[in-house]
Amino acid sequence: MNISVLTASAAPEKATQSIPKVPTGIRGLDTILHGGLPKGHTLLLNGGPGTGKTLLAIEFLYHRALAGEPGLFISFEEYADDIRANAFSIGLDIIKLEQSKKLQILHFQIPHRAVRSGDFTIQGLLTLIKGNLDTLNAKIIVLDAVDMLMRVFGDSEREQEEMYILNDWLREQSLTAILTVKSMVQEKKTYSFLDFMADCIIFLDQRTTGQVRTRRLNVIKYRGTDFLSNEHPYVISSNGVVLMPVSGVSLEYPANKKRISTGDTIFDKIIGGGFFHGSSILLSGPSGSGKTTLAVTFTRAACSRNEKTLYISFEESQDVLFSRSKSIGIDLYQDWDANRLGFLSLLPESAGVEQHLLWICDAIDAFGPDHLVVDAITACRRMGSEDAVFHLLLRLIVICRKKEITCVYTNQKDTMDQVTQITGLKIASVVDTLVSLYYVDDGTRLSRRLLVVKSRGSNHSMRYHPFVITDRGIALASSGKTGEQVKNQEG
Amino acid sequence: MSGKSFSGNFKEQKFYEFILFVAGNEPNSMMARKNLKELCEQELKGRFNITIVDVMEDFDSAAAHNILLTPTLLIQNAISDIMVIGNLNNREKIRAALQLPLE
Repeated sequence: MNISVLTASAAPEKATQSIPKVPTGIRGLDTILHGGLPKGHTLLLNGGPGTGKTLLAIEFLYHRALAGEPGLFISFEEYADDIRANAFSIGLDIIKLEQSKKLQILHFQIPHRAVRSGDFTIQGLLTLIKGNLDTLNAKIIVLDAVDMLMRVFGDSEREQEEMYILNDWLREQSLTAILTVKSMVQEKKTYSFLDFMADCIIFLDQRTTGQVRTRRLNVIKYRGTDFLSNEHPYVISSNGVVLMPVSGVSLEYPANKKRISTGDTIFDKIIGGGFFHGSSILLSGPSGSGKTTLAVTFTRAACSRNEKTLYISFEESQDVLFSRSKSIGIDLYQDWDANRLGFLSLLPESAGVEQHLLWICDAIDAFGPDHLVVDAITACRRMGSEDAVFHLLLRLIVICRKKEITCVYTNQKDTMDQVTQITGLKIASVVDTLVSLYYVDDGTRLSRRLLVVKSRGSNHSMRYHPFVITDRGIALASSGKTGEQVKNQEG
Repeated sequence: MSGKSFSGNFKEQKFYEFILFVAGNEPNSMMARKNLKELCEQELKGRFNITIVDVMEDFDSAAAHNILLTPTLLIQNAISDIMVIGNLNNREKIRAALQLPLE
């Protein structure tokens, strides 16, 4: 559970030494915070119910505890056992750390049912905190659901005074603290004074678009240091909270030089000598035009050269794809058996973009492929919005370039029109190679054409190449027709 | 009321055990001490015992009773303790908590 490779090189060096910081250990968050939380200061973690405030806070303590720095977690709302169980569900074994006295979760029951008679203060709480911190020898603390504590006062002026007392006390004790607060936009209580009090504020938010929920993290302020602004989508995965900040992905990647075969000698010739290793290729065309055939042809050829390929399908199951491929003479079973081929079948509707990106990245890390096939990226539309799809693909392209993984994406065009949607999903401008597949109606029958629209750094054919799909794979004509000829033929 | 003499007798027998948690000599704690003492002397003569715990010095007792707010008064009871928070300046509320008859 280290900081993800995706973001490791991203923090600008000038900002790293601004103020002393404590790494959170949460994948991607330290990149956003340029190193971590402010040491000896307070983070206010604000967010609605279900946004993962408690989990994020406990994961911070978990990583610090593993690094040998004990921490205290005080909950004013959830019971300690519930927090332990929730933490365990995202892969954090708290109990072990509690046994070794590196972490302690305490639930402080707020006496809501107590009789009130006159004014009171939180001095008892401070004493309890101090005693427990001393026992643990801890300098890190989480106060979860501070809003519940404040409610006891039932008077906004008194709440404010006591929160200032708490904050000053935390500062005096040089504690690195996280206070979590529920944001209640609907209610009038927003505790806006807290925003002025804290040195660092993170806002967590969740939205549902197109039936898919996306969680976002936003650093509102961070005194004395730079940070990555913008909203950062995050995922609560079985391995903790994960963020993959867009701006954290470096744009520096090695230029691709080595050519690899497309799997078809004529296609290699048409494209100017094959694909570049580590480049990104978009195969675009209407349904049934042969995109998947080209993709599996490439996959088989790569595997036969003993290069590992990860095939991600949003459309078909492994069985269907393999048996279909076999019917056109492409045997993927042997590659699967030899562990040269990895297969990941994903249902776009099942989760949001961030979760999918995480699954794909985890699969890449686990399998370590030379090449990646995504069939078909158009299905990503069903993960939420069209815009989100573009973000996923852009990030995937950049991540793969950095790792020198060749990426073949297929893009399904909705119409047979040759001109429209050539820039499908806006990613055409980002990819290195764009291959378009067409149906041509010559009056008596439908035939297929392949056109290399662009291929960076290659002297490729500009012609429409007729092709057929046979029971022994794809058969391309090397002498293609120019666009003029095809158009004339159509007319 | 027919039950009057009985409840009167019962009242006579009841003994009150108090624990007052304070935080040093801060104003609310001083006030709570004074208010509790006055109430007990005026209304519970000879039927009370007060233990004062300063949370600043006795962390263990504060922890054992989960005392987050000071001052806190615990009225110890056979069934469950009654908790009163605040400087005890509202005597009617404490009387109600002690189930003393209203004046």
